[in-house]
Amino acid sequence: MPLPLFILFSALTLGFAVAVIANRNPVTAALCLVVSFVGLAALFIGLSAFFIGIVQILVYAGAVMVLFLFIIMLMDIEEEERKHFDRLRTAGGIAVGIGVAFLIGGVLWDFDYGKASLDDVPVQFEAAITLREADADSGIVRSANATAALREGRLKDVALVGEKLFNDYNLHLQMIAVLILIATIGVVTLGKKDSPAPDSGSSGGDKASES
Amino acid sequence: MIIRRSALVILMCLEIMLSAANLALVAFSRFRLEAGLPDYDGQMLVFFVITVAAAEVAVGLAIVVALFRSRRTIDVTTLTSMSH
Amino acid sequence: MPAYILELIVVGLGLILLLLESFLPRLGAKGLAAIGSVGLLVVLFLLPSVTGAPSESTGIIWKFYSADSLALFYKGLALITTILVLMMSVVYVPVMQRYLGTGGGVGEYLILPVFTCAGLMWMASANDLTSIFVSLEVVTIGFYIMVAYMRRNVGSLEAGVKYLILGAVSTGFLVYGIAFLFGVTGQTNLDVISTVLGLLEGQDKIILFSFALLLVAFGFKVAAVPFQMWVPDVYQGAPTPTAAFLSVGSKAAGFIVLSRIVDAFLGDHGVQTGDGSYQDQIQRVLLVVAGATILFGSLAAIPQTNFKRLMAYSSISHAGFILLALACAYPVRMDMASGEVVAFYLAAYLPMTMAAFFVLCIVRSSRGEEEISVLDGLGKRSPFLAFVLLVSVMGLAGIPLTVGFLGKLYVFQAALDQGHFVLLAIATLGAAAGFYYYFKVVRSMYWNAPSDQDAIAVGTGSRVLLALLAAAIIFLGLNQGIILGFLR
Repeated sequence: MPLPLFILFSALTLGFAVAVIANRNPVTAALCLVVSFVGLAALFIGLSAFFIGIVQILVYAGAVMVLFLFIIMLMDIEEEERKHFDRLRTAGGIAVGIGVAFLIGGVLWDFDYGKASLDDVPVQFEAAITLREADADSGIVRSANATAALREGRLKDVALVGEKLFNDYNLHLQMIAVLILIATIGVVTLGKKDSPAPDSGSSGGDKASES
Repeated sequence: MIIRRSALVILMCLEIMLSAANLALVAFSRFRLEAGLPDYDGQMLVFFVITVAAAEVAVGLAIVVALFRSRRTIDVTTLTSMSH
Repeated sequence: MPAYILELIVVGLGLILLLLESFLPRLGAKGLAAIGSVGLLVVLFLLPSVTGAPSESTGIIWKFYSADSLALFYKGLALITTILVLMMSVVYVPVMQRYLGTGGGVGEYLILPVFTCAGLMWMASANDLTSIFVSLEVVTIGFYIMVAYMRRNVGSLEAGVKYLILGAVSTGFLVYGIAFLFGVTGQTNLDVISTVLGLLEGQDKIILFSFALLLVAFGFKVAAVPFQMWVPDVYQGAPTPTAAFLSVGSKAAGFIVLSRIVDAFLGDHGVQTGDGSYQDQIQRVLLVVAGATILFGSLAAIPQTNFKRLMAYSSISHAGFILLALACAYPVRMDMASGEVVAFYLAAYLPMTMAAFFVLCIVRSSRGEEEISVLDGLGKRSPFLAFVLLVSVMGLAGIPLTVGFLGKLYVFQAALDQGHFVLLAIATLGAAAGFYYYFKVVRSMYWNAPSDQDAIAVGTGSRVLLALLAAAIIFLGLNQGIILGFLR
């Protein structure tokens, strides 16, 4: 990703993330969060994680945000109380933020990869193709589709992710299925009203199973 | 997150925290080439984190709604009914 | 039979229970709990017959899943805990119904532990960062719901919100720590990470940083100081069976993962015991956290008047003892590995805590509160309950002839072997404070005059279970070989 674009999207992500915290109105905060996540998705795509970038937009900017806005509207929350934010907490929050930023900066400064740029580690198509063909010959599942795309010099991200997800990470996929089932059960029971009318709770459960 | 008092906005801030970790993971997986390609182990974790975060938000919002129904407020500084 | 079938059976059992709950509503809470417990018991009996990873590496699953003896041991703990929690929930149902309104829905409360148990079992086997994250989240989300379950009770909801927010923060730390560990090693499997860490040089700062993040995350899960602030409130607000489940199941699973991670960091590879190698610093951090946890838990428990809060602080102090055992993994190899000390302590902790919470459940469902004063004169009103509670409290305090004493003894021995005398002094102080605050419970039961004379009704099933638990506390205390036998 060219540097100007990187700066633009980083600024977008960070700036709107701060806006989420600084805005008193929850609806505005939620919309700022959408913009922040779109910027983040752009950064993901810049790191050639195309699938993750799209999922980020679909799940966060789409589903999760709709859920947030829906709940905000449902509860009809007015702005937080007029009085200013608690001084001490604000100062504490900012101090913690700056402290963590410095800590991470310091840690990354010492780290070899902290100074690398993307051009230092280009995707090595030839090496990848040879390895994948060797793997395929020895019986490991390798998507021929993705290898063909690699030969044309394209990184077919979705096929590669799918290959990994449904072969190596099958167990985790089952665990996630159980997790979403638990979440669905929980949201339905927690959202139950005394009257049997359907309500917001069940919509939360549906959303969880979508993602 | 420390600053805000509305449980909803706190949940949003949690999403931001998880996203930051996701970005770090994706960046590391891109810089760590494995077999000439980005290391997809890292991206798998990101995928699972996104899923889990969505489920967590769903559960969190359900709890917040239940709290709102019984208390008519979601300000977390008022959660002090228990003795200390 | 490969070990991962066990979790599939447990999940299947949960699904069957869900279907039964909706299509056979006349089964009731008792029926559901009975079917669930029997199913889990069957899995428990299958446990010794499972096989671990085959020698020739077939199947990618063994990259993410280990079935060593420690994993199987913790799976057993998770199963036993869940069975006891199901039994306890049956006793607790009348209390629960009061707070659920006309919408009902006690059934799900009995089914969620089964699914959570599958998560706990996955955690016991997780030896990969991704597996750790996913299985941990299965457990955590189950607990969010169970803590907040009584949706008409403000205390339960408050506890739910607190647990949710702090739990989610700890998830954030966990993911960040995993990200950095992945960044520095490029691996997700803990065994491989351990090897890679031994080869790395000059990356101490980022290694320490990632360990600190992971320690924060698991500090929340196992209730170590300074990340213990949620514990008393959540225990007090949550339904009592959930509090018991949290204090045994969640803690045990947190500790096995933490001990696997500490193993990966400290591992065998680093013979460079120079002052200031990252291994040394990690160990120092662990020791400080352990000492602070023991001190805080023991001292803060003294003025408590609510029985659940007392148990919360006592569980913090026990977490400190276990952390101390964990910190003793390095640098000297001991004849009893620190992982085994941790497992023994947790196995000892299980029957004692479960018995205490079980008695509390029974008392609570006949009387409306959970203050210690509720126990006044229990020795006269229902000598059986009082006796069980006496045994369990004696075990928790670590009085000789109980299994709790052996657990503490092994920890002290480990600390002595590694020469941590300051920590030894703190642990002694903590144990002494323990005698005092547990004695409060005993005094209230046997010396204080009862506020009313009615005996508390105890069902036959609960009576048998309680007797079994009390017998286990004493019997295991006399034969330490039994638990150790299961461990090896």
